[in-house]
Amino acid sequence: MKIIEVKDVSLGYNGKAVVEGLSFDVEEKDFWAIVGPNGTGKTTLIKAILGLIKPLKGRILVFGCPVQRVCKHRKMIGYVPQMEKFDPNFPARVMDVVLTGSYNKLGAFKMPGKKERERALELLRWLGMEELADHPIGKLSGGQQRKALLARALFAEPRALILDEPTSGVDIVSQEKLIELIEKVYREKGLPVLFVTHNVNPILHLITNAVLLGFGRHAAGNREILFDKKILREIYGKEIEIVSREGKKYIITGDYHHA
Amino acid sequence: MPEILKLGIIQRALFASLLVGLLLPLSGSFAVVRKSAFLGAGVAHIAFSGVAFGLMISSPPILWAFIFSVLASVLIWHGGKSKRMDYDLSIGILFSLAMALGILFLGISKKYGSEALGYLFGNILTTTKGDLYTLGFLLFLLLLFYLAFYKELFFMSFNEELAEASGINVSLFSLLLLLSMTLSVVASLKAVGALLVFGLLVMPAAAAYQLTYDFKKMIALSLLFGLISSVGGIAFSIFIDVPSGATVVILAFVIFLLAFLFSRKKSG
Ligand SMILES: Nc1ncnc2c1ncn2[C@@H]1O[C@H](COP(=O)(O)OP(=O)(O)OP(=O)(O)O)[C@@H](O)[C@H]1O
Ligand SMILES: [Mg+2]
Repeated sequence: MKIIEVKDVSLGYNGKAVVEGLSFDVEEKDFWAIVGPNGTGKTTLIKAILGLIKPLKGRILVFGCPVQRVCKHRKMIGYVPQMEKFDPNFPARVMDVVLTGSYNKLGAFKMPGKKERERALELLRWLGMEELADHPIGKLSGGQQRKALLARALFAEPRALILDEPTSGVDIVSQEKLIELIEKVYREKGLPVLFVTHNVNPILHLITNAVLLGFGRHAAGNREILFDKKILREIYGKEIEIVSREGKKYIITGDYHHA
Repeated sequence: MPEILKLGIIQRALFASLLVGLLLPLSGSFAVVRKSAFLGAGVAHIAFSGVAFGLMISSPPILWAFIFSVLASVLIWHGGKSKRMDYDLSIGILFSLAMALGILFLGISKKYGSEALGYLFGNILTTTKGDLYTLGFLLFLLLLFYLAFYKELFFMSFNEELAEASGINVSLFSLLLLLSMTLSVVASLKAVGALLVFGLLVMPAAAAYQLTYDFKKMIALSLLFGLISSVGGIAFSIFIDVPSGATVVILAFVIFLLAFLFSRKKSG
């Protein structure tokens, strides 16, 4: 079943295209990496899929529903936005933020109760930040905020996950845990994941497909395009090396190779 | 309520102060966390130009205050929605235009100077039963709105993009928040005055904002501070016979100052 369909889509701002003529389909159990240099439209693509911005051209369907129309598909997507620091004084604690993940299922006047709190705590425990539940969200480190947002996204039992650089600013141990958690959800629920990242190496074993965005060019397809040196050179404008260690492939820049 | 019919001037004034003291800090809390408190100042002045217009054409001033400020709110909202104008900018522009128009209207009509001043400085002793019913009904309506959509309003105050991605109609709720603030401001105009209504809108909320990281507690504290400032300030103003807005805002400021000094957020 097709979960997300991007059909010949052009995206941009004020009529100026950033991405042109992009097409790909995301199906159940797909794990898509979205990679490319800064400013090539990765976040823009994600916002378009979420219906936050309108495509200049083409159509995007999510669960078969055009994103421009108001329909319930948005509630089925767990979304972690790209890093942004929250206002350090904002009156919300980590628990309050995680509980926003329960809002879709609660009607007017209803507030999350004991059941929701327990589930939120459980998710926080999983991420090793249970003791921060009552901490002001704005006073957490960037990485801790990312984890709180992931817990929030997972709370609603989403049917697809869209993660915009969820591991940026996260320490390597937590990064591993975060990816482990995403992998667990991905494997258990078989839901599709769109993962924007500048470093595919930690998730190479999960990736089934990829979108590569460059300036004025792009490629979308199965994971093999990530290892195509010709495509990588076109996207990054630079030589990219693929090295194999212990049967695993790693993607690194040429500079590193010569050092 | 037969007792209300028998209320004297002073009792009506205190009753009004009670309602205003709850109404303004309630919408003020959202304005403060959304960093759009300046909207309240803008709306108050725009409402005043409506008052001046009403006085000029000998039509009920509050009705025109209402029409002017709702129109301005919708314009500001639209400007913000299309992302072509920052709130600050649209308010700044409409704010000064409104003051210019207000002064123009007053200049044309001349004779209404003292009545206009009443709306600028506030005169709670002129509160009528009708005013009390209006304030009470509005407070009831807004309480219902905030309780029903607390989740949506909290979420979008925290992060609009995330709220919108979760299916919340952020644009609609922004308009509703803006209108609820506008209505509170217009309804309080007579009691507190256009110049000072902003003080009661932001200061109790700003004081509460200093003291807690729990948004619900912040709202509760801000209502409490609003009540103390408003009832205390108005009682005091009646006692020493000065415009009530001034004493209310000074009291609200003292509370803010104390909150600021004892704030847990001080150390960042
Ligand atoms: N709100 C906006 N208005 C106008 N232009 C924008 C806006 N947001 C992004 N852009 C432009 O669109 C292009 C793509 O931005 P986008 O944020 O999608 O890049 P990205 O691939 O996510 O980059 P990064 O790796 O830095 O996150 C950039 O050139 C940027 O300047
Ligand atoms: Mg980005």
